[in-house]
Amino acid sequence: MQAKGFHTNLSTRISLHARHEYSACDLFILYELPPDVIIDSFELNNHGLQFEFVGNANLELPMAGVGNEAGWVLVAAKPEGEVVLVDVPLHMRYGVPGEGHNPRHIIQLHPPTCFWGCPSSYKSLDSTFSSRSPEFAMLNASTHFKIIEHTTSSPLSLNIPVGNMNHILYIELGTVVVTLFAFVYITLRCWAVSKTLCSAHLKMQ
Amino acid sequence: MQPKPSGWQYRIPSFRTLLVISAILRVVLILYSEWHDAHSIVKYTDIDYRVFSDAARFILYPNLQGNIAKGPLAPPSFAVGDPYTRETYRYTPLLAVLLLPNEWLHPSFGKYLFAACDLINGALIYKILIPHILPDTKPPPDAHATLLAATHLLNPLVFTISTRGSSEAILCTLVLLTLFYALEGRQNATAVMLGISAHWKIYPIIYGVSCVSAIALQQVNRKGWGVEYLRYLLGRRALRFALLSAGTFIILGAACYAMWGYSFLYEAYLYHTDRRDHRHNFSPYFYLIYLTYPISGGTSADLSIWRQLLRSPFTSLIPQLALSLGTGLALGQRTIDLPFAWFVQTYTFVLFNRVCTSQYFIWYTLFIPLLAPRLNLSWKKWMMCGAIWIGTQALWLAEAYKLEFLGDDVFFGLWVRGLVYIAGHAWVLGVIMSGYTPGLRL
Repeated sequence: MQAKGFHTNLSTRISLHARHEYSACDLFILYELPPDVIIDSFELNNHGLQFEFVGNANLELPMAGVGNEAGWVLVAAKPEGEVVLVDVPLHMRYGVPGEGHNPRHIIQLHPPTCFWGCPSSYKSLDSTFSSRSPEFAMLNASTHFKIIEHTTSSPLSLNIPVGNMNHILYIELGTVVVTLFAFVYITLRCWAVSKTLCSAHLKMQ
Repeated sequence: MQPKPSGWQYRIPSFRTLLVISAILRVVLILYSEWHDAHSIVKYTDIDYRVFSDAARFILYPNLQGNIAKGPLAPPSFAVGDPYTRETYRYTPLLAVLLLPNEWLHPSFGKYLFAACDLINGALIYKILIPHILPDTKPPPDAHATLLAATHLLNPLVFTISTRGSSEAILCTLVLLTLFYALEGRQNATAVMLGISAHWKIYPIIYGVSCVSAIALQQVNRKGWGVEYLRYLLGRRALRFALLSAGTFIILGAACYAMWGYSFLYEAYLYHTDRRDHRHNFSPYFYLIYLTYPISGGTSADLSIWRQLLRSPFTSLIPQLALSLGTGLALGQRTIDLPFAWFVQTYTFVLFNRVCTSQYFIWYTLFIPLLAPRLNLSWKKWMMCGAIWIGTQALWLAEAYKLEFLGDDVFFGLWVRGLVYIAGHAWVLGVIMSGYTPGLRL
């Protein structure tokens, strides 16, 4: 499913079969986010999510101002019930402007990795869950991991408009011309009013 | 038995009643905001309030996330936190200091403080109107003043801004106090308040120009601006005003720098000189900034000189400074004209700024209750001004919604509406300026 617009919620649905086998484990969801995507840590706090973020935390730059470094968000979820739903609000940076008619940019999201983080007593499980992710302090207590297969996530791609470089000359000229006209108009008005004020004040004197 | 007086002015409640109603309204909204935020993911409280509150927390709890005041005179014996540890906190540290009770008293303390400033602003508007603006107009001035103060106190833009936790009300209080002292003829107090206002937010510096102009013209006996005017503009009284104001600004800045160091200087002031707000806002410059945002390592040096000029920030800075300062000189002819001069100066500053959001409008709508008695405009002109002022914003907002939430490709349309905003608001200012009639008092 593809979302449009600069704000969306990434909803992940996790089916927890045999969760009783992992009663001593913690449930995590790991999101790998492209540099186009921003998460607001304070907003996630407001959503009551326990999380850790690694990546570019500058919310104010467009894509042209950031590198290609991905961001990683690790969310700890509460395994209450057979199905767990987690929503993470996402925001998009303005993309690098394009050309042509209606330029747009499609942002692909990696499906999140949902896994159990378990203590050392779970010796039969793997000792890693991802070869690419950075280290997270939230995983310090977990030494063994089990990836959960039955998860769905939506949306998996985001479709945003980008600026059109074909407009640039119109934008430059139009902005300056209108600004100049407004400047001249207000200057002339100011001149007329100041002369009126001057005459009125002289009469009072 | 004497007949009861008739006329609309006798049906207006007293100013004290207006203050009580305004206070109750704000308390109810603040209590509602607490309930709303606890039960809804979409918060009533402005994101900025959380920024201020976090900054206050960082001051109180140094070493939290490694934060500590880094100024040259930060006390070695006890650690003070750095409010600039909080991302996007770009204000004076004194604001975070004022909100310290958010941590030890109640999280909504700041909102109550901003609401109290709203009430003080209403009282200041009332106190300015009666002795300085309304004596020249029809009696009774207290009912008229109450009605005008009500346009500020009961303005939805004003009370939602403060109850949502935006700090603009504090700045408005500082600016109104400056104006109050200026109209009272207390130049030293005016200078000090102007310095404090400029520390709080840099733009009130522009009011210094009209204050100095009014001081100079008070001493000029002959007509117009000639050599004599220039002499007094650089004379002892004007110089004393400028030095006192600048001195206040520098002392406050130095104290904050001594405690918090370069991060204060950068976040509170220097950041704003080079900010590139590429995301959409009312100013049409957003699209130019977005399209020309430098990709890492890229420059526009290979463009022709004309194209570089068109893209230069000076295309907006020169009109902005020329008008916001020039109108101060031209219109600040007498102290009694200062509300009008400051309105025009602020309006032009906001209009030509390379970024503009709704909160900026309160910087000049603040003066409208003080201007209204002096504006000789027909009801038709008033309605047209209101319709165009609001209509151009609504036009822009409708397109911005399509971009932001529906993901429609409307960048060009949004930019065009930004141009319409500039043209429309410039026209409104022109009409207001043409309708201004000077007061009878000097």
